Amino acid sequence: MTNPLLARFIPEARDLIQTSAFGLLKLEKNPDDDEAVNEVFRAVHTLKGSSGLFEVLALTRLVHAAEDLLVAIRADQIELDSDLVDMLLESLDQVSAWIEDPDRSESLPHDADGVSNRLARDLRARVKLSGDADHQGTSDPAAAPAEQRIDPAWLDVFSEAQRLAAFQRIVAGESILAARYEPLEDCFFRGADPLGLVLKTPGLLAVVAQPAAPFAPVEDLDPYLCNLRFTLLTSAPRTEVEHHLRYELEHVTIASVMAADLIVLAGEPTNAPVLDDFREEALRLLGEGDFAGVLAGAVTLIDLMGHGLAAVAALRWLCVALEASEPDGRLVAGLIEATTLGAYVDPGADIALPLAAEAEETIRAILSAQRKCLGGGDFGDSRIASSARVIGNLATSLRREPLVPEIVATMEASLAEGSPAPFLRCLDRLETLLFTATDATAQPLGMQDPPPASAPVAEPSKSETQGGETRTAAKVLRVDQAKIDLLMNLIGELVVSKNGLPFLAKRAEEVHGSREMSREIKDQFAVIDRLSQEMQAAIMQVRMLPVSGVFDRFPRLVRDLARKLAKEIELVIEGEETAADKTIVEALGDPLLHIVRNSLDHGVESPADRIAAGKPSKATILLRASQEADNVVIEIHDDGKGIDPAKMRASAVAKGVIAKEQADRLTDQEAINLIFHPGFSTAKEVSDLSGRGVGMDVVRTTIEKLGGRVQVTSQVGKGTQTKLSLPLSMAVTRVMMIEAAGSLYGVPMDLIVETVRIAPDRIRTIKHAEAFILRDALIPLVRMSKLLGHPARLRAADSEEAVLVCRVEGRNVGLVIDNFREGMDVILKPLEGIVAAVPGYLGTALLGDGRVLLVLDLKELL
Amino acid sequence: MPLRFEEDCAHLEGHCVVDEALPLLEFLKDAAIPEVELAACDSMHTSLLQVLAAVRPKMLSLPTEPQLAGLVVSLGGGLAP
Repeated sequence: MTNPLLARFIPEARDLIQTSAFGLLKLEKNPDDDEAVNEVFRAVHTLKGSSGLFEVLALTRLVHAAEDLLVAIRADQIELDSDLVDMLLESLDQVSAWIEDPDRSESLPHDADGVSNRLARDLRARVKLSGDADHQGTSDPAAAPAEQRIDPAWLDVFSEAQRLAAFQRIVAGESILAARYEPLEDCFFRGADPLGLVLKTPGLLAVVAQPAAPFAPVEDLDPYLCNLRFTLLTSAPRTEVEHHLRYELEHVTIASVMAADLIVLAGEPTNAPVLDDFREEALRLLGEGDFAGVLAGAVTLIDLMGHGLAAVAALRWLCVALEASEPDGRLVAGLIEATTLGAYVDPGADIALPLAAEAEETIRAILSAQRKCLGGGDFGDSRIASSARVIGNLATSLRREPLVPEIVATMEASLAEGSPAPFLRCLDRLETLLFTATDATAQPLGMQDPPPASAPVAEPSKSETQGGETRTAAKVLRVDQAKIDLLMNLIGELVVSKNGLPFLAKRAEEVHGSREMSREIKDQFAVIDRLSQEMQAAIMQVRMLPVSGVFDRFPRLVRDLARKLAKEIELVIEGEETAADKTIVEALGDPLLHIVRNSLDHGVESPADRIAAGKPSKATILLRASQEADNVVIEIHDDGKGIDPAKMRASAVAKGVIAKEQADRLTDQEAINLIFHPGFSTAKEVSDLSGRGVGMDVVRTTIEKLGGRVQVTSQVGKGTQTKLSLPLSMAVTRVMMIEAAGSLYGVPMDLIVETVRIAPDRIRTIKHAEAFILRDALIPLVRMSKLLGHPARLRAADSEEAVLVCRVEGRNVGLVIDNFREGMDVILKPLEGIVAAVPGYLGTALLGDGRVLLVLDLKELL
Repeated sequence: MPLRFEEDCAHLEGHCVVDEALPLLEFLKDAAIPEVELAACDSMHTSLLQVLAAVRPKMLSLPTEPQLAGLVVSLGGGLAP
């Protein structure tokens, strides 16, 4: 990752996602929490804003959709429910996955656009549902509908060829946007060049410029006042267009164009009977899905009829619609109808409200055209019949079939009378009838069946409305951990080199005979010593993180799992401000996850079982952190069914983990501890949450690797408590120096039980193994020199042996060494490079005099 | 030089910037039968397009960039016969 902005964006995004997820959970509990809504909104808004800096359109689009949904929630248009929270969380997870993608190469994975579209569509569907419901209610301008339908008048400026070209793309599955750009008059003075900008629009298909007002006479013309406005069609995605026009976005309106918006049927109306035949035949073919057949018919008909007719225009559009690889049946049907109607009317059942308003004009136009035809002199039987057919079709296409018999009846009356009067009266009646019927039924239709989500996309400028909200910048520095580590290493070296000063003081006195100099050096040493110690403490503080970093993921986890398992669980978190070294806090995550999952899955019973057991239906899981001396203690309590020692014994025997007699000898606590045994799992079924038999032993291994301990206690029916205790800081390890096989070694202090010196005659040999008795316990002895593969040092036969009693893997063992040395704090560095594979050592530490101390890994050695 | 005048004809060549709008307007205003030659014009600032739209000079040729040509034609009254 070379982009420094990106390097800053990622941790920021991480935080923002965390904040939003947290806020969402808070909101779910208390949907009226305005502060939480704002908090989530701000986080998502910021995320959207900063993501715009990078080439991550899919991400921006998804976050944008989430933001729109939050806007609606904030405006109380949408009730926030658990499903909605699920959706939003899923989207955030996706964003998080993109951000954390380890193979990220500053761009999103290939499927990102698809994933983003799917999620964004779901989100938008929710916004729209409420948006439609809102049409009848208040029309709050701040809560403007998230999608914008194009005003068809915009498209009037384009030629039929331009429209057809765009139409062709839409039916081929592309989405087309129209943008109207009305630059400010004085925009030239601000460096804008609208023409240049417009011509460079990505995916530009057509552009038309018009004077905003008639030009002044040439004598008075000011060429530097912009008097042009532009309308353009583009096939680029909205975000790209918005990005391109970002500096002028407030003067730009962008709307998506539907295929039907583009259709314009220029030309004379006609009522050629051949059209009726075509319509009938084409609709039949359409019913059979034979698009090719319809196309062939249309092509023939165009050749037959010549130009200048609206019907032929309709046929031309029809051909384009049919030439698509997957023709849209509804569109095709509408165009087939248009050949006889002389205008395009959307035939779908799902005429949404705005469409109905649009269609009204068309319908009136059709009716008046028919009226004109009939009112003219050349009245004839065929004319009335064809007119009746047109009106009948119109009624059918508007789903007003019940009106058809009436139309036919009046047509017959007109024919019988030999005058168009009855039919004309009928037309008048129809007009009122059609529109009342449209109003009465179209509304609910529109609500049940929102328009397809692909076309309308949200209004972008709305997000700018909260410019007034400013976020106070946190006074926190984000520093790469490697820099802190470097600082710590440097301080470590400073400490070591500082320890060289006393030697210098000694030399000054002994070699150069200057006692005064020696004293001054010692004074300086004292100051440097104090400062370096303070520095070390300070840098440790920097590495200390509150455990909330780990705890924060649990509310979400517990909520999701509880929903999945249909259990009622309340998570209580205490002491999340307790701090520990970063390494510890970070390593805590997985073990805690296992334990909490275990509690959820195996510990907590279903609500019904809990009530039967006389407990409240809602279980409580407590997550508590506290500090005890040099340790941080994490406790996880649940009030579930607890661990049954009897079951543990039986299960352990059944699985062959231990023998029957052995199992019977175990105390209850020891039986419970069997859960730490590798491969042990009492769950009857392996669920996707826990119970793969890798849980608790992994937990113990991890915690012990960090120098900590795990303890589990449980009462049947009451619950289980797990206690993890870990050192506060990994940075400094307390070791005891020992002499063995002629060298100095370090042994971690937490393993050492005691140091004893024993006379050689107290050592007993049992078979080949040596042991000794210490306070009535038999302790096996191991000779360190043998362990390290060095020859034993020769010593006087009666001298006492130095024995270091250590507790390794729960058993005491005595290590025979040459001598004890002092204990000390060291900064342990793991073995690196070619020595990394050498077993038996935890790492190395630098001593004050510059020597390297090898620290032993007793667990591995024994 | 993006803007070159020859008798009554203004030649717009290359990339014509905002500063040239005023000279162009002055020239076209004073020309007896204003004419423009646009074939060599790669791009023009909005202000120049506006001048063409307001003055509607005779266009002897059009820019090669089709969208720009389309705009010039629709605003400026089309190519001279």
